[in-house]
Amino acid sequence: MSESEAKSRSATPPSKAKQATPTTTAAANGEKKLTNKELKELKKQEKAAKRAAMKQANGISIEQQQQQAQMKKEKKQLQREQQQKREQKQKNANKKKQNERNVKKSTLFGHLETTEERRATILALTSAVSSPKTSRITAAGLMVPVVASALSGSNVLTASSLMPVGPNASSTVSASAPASTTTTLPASSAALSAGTSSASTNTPTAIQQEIASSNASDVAKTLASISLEAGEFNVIPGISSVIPTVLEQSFDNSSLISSVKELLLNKDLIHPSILLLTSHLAHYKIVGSIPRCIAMLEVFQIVIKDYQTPKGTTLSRNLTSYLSHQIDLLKKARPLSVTMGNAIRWLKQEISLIDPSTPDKAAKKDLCEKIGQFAKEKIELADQLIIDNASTQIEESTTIVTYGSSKVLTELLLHNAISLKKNIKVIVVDSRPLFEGRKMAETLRNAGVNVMYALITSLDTIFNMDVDYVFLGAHSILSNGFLYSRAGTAMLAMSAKRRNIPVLVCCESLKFSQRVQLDSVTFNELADPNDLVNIDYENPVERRGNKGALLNQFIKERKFEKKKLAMENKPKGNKIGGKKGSEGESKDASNEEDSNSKNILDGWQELPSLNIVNILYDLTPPEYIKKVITEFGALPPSSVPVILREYKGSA
Amino acid sequence: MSSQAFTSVHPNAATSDVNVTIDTFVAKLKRRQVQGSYAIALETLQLLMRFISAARWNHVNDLIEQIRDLGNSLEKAHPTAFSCGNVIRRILAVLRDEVEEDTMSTTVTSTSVAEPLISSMFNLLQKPEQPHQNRKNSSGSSGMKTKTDYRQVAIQGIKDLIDEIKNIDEGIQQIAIDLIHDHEILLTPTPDSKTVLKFLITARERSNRTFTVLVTEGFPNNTKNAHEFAKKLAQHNIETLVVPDSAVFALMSRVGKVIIGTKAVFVNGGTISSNSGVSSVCECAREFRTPVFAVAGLYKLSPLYPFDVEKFVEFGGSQRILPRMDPRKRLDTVNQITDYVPPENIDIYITNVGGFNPSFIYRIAWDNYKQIDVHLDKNKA
Amino acid sequence: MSEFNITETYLRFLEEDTEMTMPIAAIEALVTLLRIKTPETAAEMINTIKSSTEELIKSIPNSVSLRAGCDIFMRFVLRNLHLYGDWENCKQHLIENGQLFVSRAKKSRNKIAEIGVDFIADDDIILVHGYSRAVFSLLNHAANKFIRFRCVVTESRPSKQGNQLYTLLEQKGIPVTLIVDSAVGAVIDKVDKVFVGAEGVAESGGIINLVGTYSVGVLAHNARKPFYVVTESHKFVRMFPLSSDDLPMAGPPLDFTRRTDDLEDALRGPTIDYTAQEYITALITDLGVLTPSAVSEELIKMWYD
Repeated sequence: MSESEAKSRSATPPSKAKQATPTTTAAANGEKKLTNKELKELKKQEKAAKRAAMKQANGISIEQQQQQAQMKKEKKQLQREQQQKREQKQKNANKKKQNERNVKKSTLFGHLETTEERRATILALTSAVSSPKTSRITAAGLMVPVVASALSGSNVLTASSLMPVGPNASSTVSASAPASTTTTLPASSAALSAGTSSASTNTPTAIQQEIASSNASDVAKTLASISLEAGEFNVIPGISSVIPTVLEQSFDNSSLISSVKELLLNKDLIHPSILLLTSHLAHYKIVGSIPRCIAMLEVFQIVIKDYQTPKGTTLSRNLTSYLSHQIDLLKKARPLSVTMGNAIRWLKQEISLIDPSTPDKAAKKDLCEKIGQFAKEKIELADQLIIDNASTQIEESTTIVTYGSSKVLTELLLHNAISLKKNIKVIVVDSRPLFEGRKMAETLRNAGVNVMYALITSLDTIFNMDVDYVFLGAHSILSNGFLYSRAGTAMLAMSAKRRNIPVLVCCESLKFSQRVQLDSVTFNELADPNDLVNIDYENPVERRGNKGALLNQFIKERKFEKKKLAMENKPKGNKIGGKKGSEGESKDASNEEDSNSKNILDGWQELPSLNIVNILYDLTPPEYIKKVITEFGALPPSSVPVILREYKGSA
Repeated sequence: MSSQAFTSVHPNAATSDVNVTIDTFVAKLKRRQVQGSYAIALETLQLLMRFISAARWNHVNDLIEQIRDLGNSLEKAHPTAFSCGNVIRRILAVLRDEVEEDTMSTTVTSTSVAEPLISSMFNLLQKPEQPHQNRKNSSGSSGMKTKTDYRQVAIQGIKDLIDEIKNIDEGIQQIAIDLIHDHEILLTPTPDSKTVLKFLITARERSNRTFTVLVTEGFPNNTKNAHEFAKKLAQHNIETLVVPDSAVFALMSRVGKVIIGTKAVFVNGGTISSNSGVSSVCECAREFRTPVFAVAGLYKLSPLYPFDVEKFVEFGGSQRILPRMDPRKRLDTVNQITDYVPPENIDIYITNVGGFNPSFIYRIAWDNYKQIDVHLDKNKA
Repeated sequence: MSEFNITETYLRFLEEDTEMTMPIAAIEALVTLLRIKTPETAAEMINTIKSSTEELIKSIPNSVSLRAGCDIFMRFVLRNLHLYGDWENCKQHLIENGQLFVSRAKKSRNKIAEIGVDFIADDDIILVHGYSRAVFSLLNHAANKFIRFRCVVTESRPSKQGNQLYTLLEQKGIPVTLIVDSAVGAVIDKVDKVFVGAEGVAESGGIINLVGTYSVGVLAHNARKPFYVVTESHKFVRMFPLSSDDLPMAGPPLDFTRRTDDLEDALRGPTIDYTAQEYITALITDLGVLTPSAVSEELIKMWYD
């Protein structure tokens, strides 16, 4: 078909076709056998020519015709604009729906904090904390002002005409303020315009008060505007809008807003090293419950060193609450691991035990020393004891299955294979999307251990290979004996149990938790669902934390605007131009399709009934576990509460 | 080798172009270019149709032998393409039934020619056969029937079977739909199964049930399918959750039913699924007492017994498991492509002829196959 | 007409041919009965068979297996009478072909061996409880096919059939070890699969066999080891015991009354037990590999055809 069209076009250039006399078409007719389509086209052209001729005959000049055409075009443009408005409205409605979905979102995990929510909080905080600096990389990884069309601090800022946004799309959110700064957000997305009505109710002078307003989109706006406080404005059209939209999408939860508010109120108290740690944790640069705990303790040492007791209070009273603020932020990176929780509890107890009469300096030094000692005792020495104990279990020429990656297990296996020269075979089982096992398999292999690497889908085959033991690491062991560990552990333990293969867990007593829990759904940590979108065998999903999402959002909005621009330009151009535009669009569409075919689930957010579950942990019932090896020796999982009591007493 | 050997078996077939077709199909099977038991079954039947229309034979037993040879060569080409052997055995059974009917109608005496193996305990006390007489009878009767009759019978059998295979989903949906209730949470670990997909969509659209479907990813070999599957479901307005394989245990406590597709169903009630990790999912389900139902077209039923499961399970290379490996320090990897689910982990089979307990599958199999054709390989039979 | 004692005939058959199973001996005994008594009418024939069967079952303490033989025989006679009414012909056939049945029964064991040999793989460790001709013929066949496997044989008290099997396997050159019955639990993890014979296969698909089979079955089930029953199809019997209590036995299963000083003699208790179908992975029979539920189908077919 397209070929025939091309033919017809080459035979009679379309632009000229109007003026072309019927004779040429007749000539074309005579020259070629024409397909039906060509015939139709020719007839159309003929008609158009006739019409023109008729009009001319009616006394309408060509100029007048052009005028008419122009008018028609304008009319069309108007219509188009109206349509756009309508679309905008629809979009708003959609957004509302989406928000509803966000609430409904996980039929199973609705009660858990999603990564987006955490991300939004951190984003808000970091942008607030680092606001005095005009250009920086936020924790979100978003570089705000690059080639900013800086709008100096005038009282009222309107959306500049430079903005590639149609007048209907750009909304001015003005919180008019007489004395101090007024912020205006050039908002490309209509999302913000939704909030305009309530904006006037805000008291603009104090940002905190503004935050106090309960409207979600308001908060989002305010948060974005925080970075603009103190008179210095650096707004990039199109970019600054990214933050609020992202935020707004996530802030449909009132409790979240209030927690953010609280954090913002205390933002000045936060120590920079904590911010750094938060960002590391949020980006999964530090993973594993033990490394996370160690990192936190180290940062606490710095924080305590830098701590100055305010006047009118004592260290033992104030330090705890000061630390609490820091911890509140840490919690926003990822939920605290049990190890961290235990360490914090211990630290607070230590602080409360300090005699108020001790001078600050001595007390701080003492605390830092104690923290170091704690880390050494509870982690390093404990690991050593566990390894010694577990080594007795591993006989000559045994086959061991392990899951994911665990620090103490890696050390244990290396110790047995290398130092004790036992001929062991290790099967590392791994799973998507983290592929932590690759690291462990590589470490062991590089040390010369006989390693096999498999995925959790091949469990059946793995357990047919004469496996002697399953060794597991732990995130935590709960008070009712359940093992809380990397998702997939429970399945492995169950399979092993069904095949009468003993399951052993190596776990420092620091990981014992007071909590009780019955299944993996009630309490868990949700990771970024986008990690599962990409199917790539080469690279394990690179954990980009917030960066990718924001960037994507930005790119998306850019694209959207570009399209709109193209749409607006279209009517102005002549017909050929219009065609070109549409061609470009179709190209864009095909490009999009290309990227879609790369990852099938790209854009899954648009499908209201599609969700991706990416939970980090699961719960293994105690009946699957034969033995828990701790620094106190080997115990059945039912003895966890016993140790907990003991441990609490000793700490 | 098999194709060569095969053509030499019946040089008098004198139908080189059929042989060429067979050779290409064998080659395709060997290179695993035909995917999915549905496609394999249909292609095999088409091939068989051509083969039978072109075949020459003196006695119907010759024809049966020729078909067996064909089946053997195809099975050798792709030992785990069960549907291929299944449909050939089905046609063989049709032919043998016809032969038996003829002998029955012409002779009053016993029928033990066709079915010497599967028979009741009465064999013990049966009157001794008179092999000579029987042989005479059977050959006499088949002499009475002309060859074209058998050709007709076989081709009609093939046509019926093609029809059946094409309409399998209907029958399954009828039964399966009654097994799920409104707002149920379902889990399927076999996103490559078209039967499951169609069933879920009809359940949503025609019966207007609302339910949530969890789809496991089946990494690494089936993740693409899983994502496509999830997307399709979501586009049909079905609540869909994509779940990594590791989270199955965590979510199983919320799942109402597990639906699995099958690649082959064996006489013991066990099944081979075309996705790895299914057996673990079914184990989880068993552990949580969650019912597992398997959907299977009748042509997936195989008369084989999974003596050695590892023979039936396929394995793949490491490129999808560990693509970048230090060549000096290579690791062993396991990449299971298919998975065997033992009968004790399946609660019910939904086929196009009804729902059955795994322990009853043997009966359905023997309704459709003859024991004599279980091993198409001459050396084994 | 000489005095004919069915029990004696039965026992004589068993004695004469050690390869003969109890159901076959029962059938042979009944055939002999027909030959000697030569009943005149169909009704007389049926009555003769019925009364003799009852007599036989009563006189033999462990009657499960022979009951199966009697069942088949009776059913065969009845069916032929009903279907064809040609009872004379039927009688003639039965009397003439007595020997044929014996040889067929033996042949069916070979068939079992052929079917079952696929269940034995290289490097298998197979636990066998009790001595069964079918199991032995299967193991023998596998060894002839050069499959390298090892056997663990239980002593199988009180009959000590294990010793017999041990010697046979030893002679065959199959690596074999003998353990006491109570050691099964200790070694079950090392074993790959379990093979047992059966005296009778009940309608549920459960089996009646030498005492101890149940415990082995439970242990195997617990350890998730496949538990295969190797048996001829003529041992299928129309019984549906719910537990070992329902089995026909010489005395009460537990006897608290008798006092004796001799400890050897003090040993009492049942000699057979019932293993329910849930412990059985599959039955390897001359009809093919059956799931336990297929047994009931065979029996239904036989009685309601």
